Amino acid sequence: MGFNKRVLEIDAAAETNRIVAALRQTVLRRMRRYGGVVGISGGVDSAVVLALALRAFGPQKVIALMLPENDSDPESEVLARRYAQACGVTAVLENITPALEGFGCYARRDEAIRRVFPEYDAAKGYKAKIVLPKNLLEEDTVNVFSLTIVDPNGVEQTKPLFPRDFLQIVAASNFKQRTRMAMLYYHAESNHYAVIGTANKNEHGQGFFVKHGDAGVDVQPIAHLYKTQVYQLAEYLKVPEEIRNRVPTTDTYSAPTSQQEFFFRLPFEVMDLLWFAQEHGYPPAEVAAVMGLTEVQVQRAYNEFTRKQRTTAYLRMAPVSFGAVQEGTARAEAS
Amino acid sequence: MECNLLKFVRKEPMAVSGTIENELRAYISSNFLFSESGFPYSDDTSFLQEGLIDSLGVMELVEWVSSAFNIQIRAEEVTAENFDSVSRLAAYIRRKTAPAEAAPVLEETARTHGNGL
Repeated sequence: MGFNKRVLEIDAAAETNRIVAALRQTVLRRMRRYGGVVGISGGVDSAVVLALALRAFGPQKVIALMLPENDSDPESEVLARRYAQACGVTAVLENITPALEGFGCYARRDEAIRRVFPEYDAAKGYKAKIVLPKNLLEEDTVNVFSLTIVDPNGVEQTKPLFPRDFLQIVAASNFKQRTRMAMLYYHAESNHYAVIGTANKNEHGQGFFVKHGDAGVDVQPIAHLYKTQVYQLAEYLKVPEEIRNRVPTTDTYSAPTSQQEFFFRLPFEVMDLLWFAQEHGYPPAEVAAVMGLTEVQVQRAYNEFTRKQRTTAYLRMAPVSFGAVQEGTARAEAS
Repeated sequence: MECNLLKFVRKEPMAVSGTIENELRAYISSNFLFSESGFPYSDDTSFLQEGLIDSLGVMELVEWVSSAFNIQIRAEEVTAENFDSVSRLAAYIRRKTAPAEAAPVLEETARTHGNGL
């Protein structure tokens, strides 16, 4: 079959049934846990995963955990809570700000930001975010991150980052995902549940996650689905439009940052098709004709996918051993 | 900018043709390839396509080039055209350090992370 714009359409009902059956098999029988914990953010991925978990385990065996911190958009919590209630499950709130302060997350991050912008002061209302070049299809840019600050009057400034500053900002910010992981496991272990991950294929495959952070989970029920396929499931599962229509954000940096701006550099409806085309070996010329792009643009996108997957392979790598070690078995040992 | 108020720390570009390439190869092989056999690629090999350097590596490279050759590198200059092979980067460095185009570098700027990279 030739490449066309409908290649990512799925049978949402069948896929839902398949995932629900796999969740039951994996969590209840293989891992021998009683249910699941899902971190919910008010975004479409976690909404879909919560709905799947509820179908798999029932509302008595699912915990929906909200994990906001200082920089979270307050709307996220409102939407998450409202959605959980509509699903018939009580959302548990765990504000992780005190834990992050204990780690020095904000202080370490702001120290690095001030090396670039000495005037930056979060207490005075300054906000910050990290961004990549936007025009992926238009020119051969290099993925060098820049730092943008927004002053209390809304005026933006952007500067490229030195590696040391970039690494410190990212490392400090990653306390957020790793603290959430720790809290998810607290609730999972205290109920003998598994942690159900919410990463989609785009995040998992291109490395838009934190190792041992949001990737620190037991099951990844939607990690094989492109974002546009997650939206198809969301519609089928009746996730409210107020969640489906939200722009996906990082909800990590204090200044609003879309995932497209921070990492993916393409709208999902374009990126998913191009990535599918690359994965299935479609020639750029054929894809360009269907997508209304040039061959050069398609090739740029192909190159970007290859680079991101290669660059982030470390994130997906399991701990490396240098001799025979005991792997997970079908019947998990008691911990 | 009033040049007479500034302290210049310009470093002259390498006089011998190919020396910049040698420095680049040596830096890349020791910092990114962790290789004991030098830089076993042609000078036209794409760093990014071949996976020799990732995006963080480019950031490291930008910082090192800026410091080692005393040039100011603007964000919009960090392109594949300028940074994606030994040949391209050497040509970029030569353009930036050519007398007619070279901008003087403020010692303060270079030290404190001021303008550009």
